[in-house]
Amino acid sequence: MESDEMSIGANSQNGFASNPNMKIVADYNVALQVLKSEFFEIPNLYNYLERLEQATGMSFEMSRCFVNASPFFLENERHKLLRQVAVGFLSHSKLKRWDSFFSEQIKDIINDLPGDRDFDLVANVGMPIFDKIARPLLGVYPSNRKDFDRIATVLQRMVEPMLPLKQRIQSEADFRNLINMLEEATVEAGPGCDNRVKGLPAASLLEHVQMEKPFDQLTCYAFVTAMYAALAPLVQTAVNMLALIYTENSGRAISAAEFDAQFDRFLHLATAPKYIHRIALKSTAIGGSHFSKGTTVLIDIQRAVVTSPENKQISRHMDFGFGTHFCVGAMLSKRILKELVPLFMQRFPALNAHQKAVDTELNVAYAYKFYSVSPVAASY
Amino acid sequence: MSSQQNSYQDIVNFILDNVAKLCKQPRDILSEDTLLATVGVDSLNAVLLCGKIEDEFELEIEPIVMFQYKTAKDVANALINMNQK
Ligand code: HEM
Repeated sequence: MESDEMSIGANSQNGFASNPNMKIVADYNVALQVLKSEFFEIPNLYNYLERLEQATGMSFEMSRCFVNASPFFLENERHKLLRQVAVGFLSHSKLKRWDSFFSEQIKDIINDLPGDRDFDLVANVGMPIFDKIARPLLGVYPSNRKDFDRIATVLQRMVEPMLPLKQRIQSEADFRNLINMLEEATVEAGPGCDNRVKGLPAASLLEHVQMEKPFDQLTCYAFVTAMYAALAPLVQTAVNMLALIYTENSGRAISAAEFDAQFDRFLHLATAPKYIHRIALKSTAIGGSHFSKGTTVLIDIQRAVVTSPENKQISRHMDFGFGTHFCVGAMLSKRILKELVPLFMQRFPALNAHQKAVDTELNVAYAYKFYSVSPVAASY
Repeated sequence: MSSQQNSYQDIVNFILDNVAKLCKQPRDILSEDTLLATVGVDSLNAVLLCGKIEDEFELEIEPIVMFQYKTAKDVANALINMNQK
């Protein structure tokens, strides 16, 4: 395989650096202080949308509804409530119940890959994680799965600091569409007439929130859709990790033991999100860096690390964030990657990479649009 | 209006007229060298301004351009270059 031109960590600033109101943080300790400080908050997208509504006279009601149902856009009490529900559902003990289900689904994804012709790591390995794992786990059964996934799997773009107005208008329509597809399915799916995965080990996230009723029905739909969309980094990281391992090893797989030993390194290098965003609420100085009020801070995940002087390995990182907004899907993600990647390597001891393209429209994550490979020798 | 017919000056004037309106600044204090961020072009105004430029000149423009190119002069030149490609 030729070398990977995604150049993770390098040259990824997309012009942000030249914006006087934006500051990239590449030092782990400064990043840590930012994430611990009460003077830095998640950019207030809800408030931004309200101002946009006032300035344009347009309605972004559904976008606001989504923001208000997504832990990663919120602070304070509302954030606490949503986070509590998400963390509760994805806790170690709850996930344990899904263990054999996850293993079955991962096996299916890998077994469905053709052993004798080209396939695409994005479409055939990454995207099925949405359908086979996230859909049953979260209970996301829309009336039209294809249309729903086409929109929901790229909602990540919403976090872009400045979405052009036309795209903002489009995403408002998209949000409405997503909710409609979930509502329609509820109406259509009478008892026994749907094609949902049967015999699941526990209630899905949607069933869980509908039973517990922490929010109204619309918010329940928006919340599970936001959680579904939040799987995008896992899907992208899985593809990046496979691409990285085979690239580093001249197109060959590595042993399960070697994968285990190097898992943290692979995870860091393959991590899809580029930045963690915060806004300085007041002028603040941290370790020689000055942040004036209103500055957007972009913590560069690839660079904000601590490397151990002894073995040059990364000892501390921000791959899943830190503190109050620490990723609620971290445990689930590791669980899936640790099984999916070795199983893939066992099935494909050698691969040739053919065509690949980095998703250059996505400023917030390192991701491939497609990555086509052909198996060199299948073991079964 | 089509992009071919737009002179550099048309674009600069359009940007400055709209910056004045959006940021509630007197038009006569704005020149092609004014640093846009210093007169109130924040992310919201950048998005609104780019929407107006797209409609008026039928040009594609990402709001981040307002920060990469800091003055109306630089933005206009960048737009002309981008759309000539
Ligand atoms: C390899 C995969 C993943 C990576 C690298 C990743 C990375 C991150 C990072 C860096 C944050 C912190 C954002 C911040 O502080 O602003 C975060 C938050 C979050 N992640 Fe993940 N994530 C991954 C997978 C997932 C999955 C699978 C889910 C859902 C099941 C998920 C749900 C969330 C949520 C809900 C938050 C917001 C938490 C809060 O604000 O309290 N993530 N993620």
